Amino acid sequence: MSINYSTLSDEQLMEQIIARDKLAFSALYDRYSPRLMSYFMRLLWNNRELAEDCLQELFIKISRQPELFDITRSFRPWVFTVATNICKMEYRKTSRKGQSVSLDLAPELADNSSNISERIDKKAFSKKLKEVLETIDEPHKSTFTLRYFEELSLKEISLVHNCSEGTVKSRLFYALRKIAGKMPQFQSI
Amino acid sequence: MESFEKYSQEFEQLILNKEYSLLNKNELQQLDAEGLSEEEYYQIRETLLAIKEMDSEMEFPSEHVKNKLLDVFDEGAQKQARIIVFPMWAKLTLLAAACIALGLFLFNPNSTINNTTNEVASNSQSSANEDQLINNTSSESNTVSTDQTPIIDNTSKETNQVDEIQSSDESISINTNSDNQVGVSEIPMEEAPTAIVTSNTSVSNSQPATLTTSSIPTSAYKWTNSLESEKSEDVESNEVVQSVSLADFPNVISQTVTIY
Repeated sequence: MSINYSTLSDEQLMEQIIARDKLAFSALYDRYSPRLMSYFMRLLWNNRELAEDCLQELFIKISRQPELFDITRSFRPWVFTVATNICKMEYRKTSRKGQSVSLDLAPELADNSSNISERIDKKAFSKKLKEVLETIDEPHKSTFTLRYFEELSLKEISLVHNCSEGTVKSRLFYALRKIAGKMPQFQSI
Repeated sequence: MESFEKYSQEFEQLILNKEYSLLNKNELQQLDAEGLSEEEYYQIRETLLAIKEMDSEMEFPSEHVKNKLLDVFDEGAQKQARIIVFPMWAKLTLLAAACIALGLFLFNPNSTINNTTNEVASNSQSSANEDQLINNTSSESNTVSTDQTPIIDNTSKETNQVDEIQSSDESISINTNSDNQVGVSEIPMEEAPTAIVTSNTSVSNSQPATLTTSSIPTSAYKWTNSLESEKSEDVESNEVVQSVSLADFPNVISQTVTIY
């Protein structure tokens, strides 16, 4: 009996992966690799190489120890929790190397934001948003990314960060206010 | 900001759906509590709308990443196939079997491990063994005595030699074999009755003394105050003791040879 992996839920795919089903692993990778890659890119200074390494590390963990996932729980918060932890590790490594994790690029961005054409350019907005996100510290950036890019619910984000939903709301408000304050040129979009 | 936690999600809906001018009094109070001005309100609103409208840009990893991960997955599957995974009931059965085997080994009534004790007296078998050993020792002693017959003969010769010396000279010259010449080798006749004190011998005139000689190399001549020769504590069972009464030395009347 052939299995239609595209119809299986994330949790069902993980069940198959625990049973060492290679096709299930492939299906899960196809489903989540773009989202996770984007997440890593946003959180890791748009460093593609580093993001690929982290993505690889995450899926190696899944392939080697799939039983670490509790199939009675939701997969999406769990996988983003693992991804966030990997990012935190990268932040620690970077901190040890003496680099600053959250670079305050606000003045520089403000100087370069005079181009009027960028105001209506969504692509430019996206680019600028990424840059502004780099100025936010890790918990706020991660919370914002999960909420507005990965579209996780507040509850799921609270599971990812192991904090209350109230904390998630607070972080979202703080991130949104800070980003909006650094992107006044895009108000008319 | 802490108070904002209570209505953050609602705030998102609020800010997306309502113009600032349309906010009611209660909503305005909430915004004031957060220190949010009208300008900031619109700033956030525009940014939020832009984010919502923004196309979700997906980053795709390189193809080789997937191939590598599938290889890793295959390796993991092969490793797991090599590992024999025992179910819980099998583990418990093995554990119980091991416990039973250990119990049988330790508490088996037929095992000789329980028969060994440190109380020799209470063990009849051990006592019997001891008796047997004693008997064997006695028989061995007899055997040794029998084997010492040539030594006895040699002692007799020595006695004869003493007789010859005493008869030919006025001094006592005990000329036994060279090994026995320890202590007194020559005793003048006139000094014999008097006390003779050497390093290993003592003689007093108050009682008739007896000169005891031993054929054992380590034994010295021993003067005793008794008429009968005695066996010294350090004399072994196979030694031959020659006793000569000192009172009778001048005349060499009696000589007693006691053989142990």
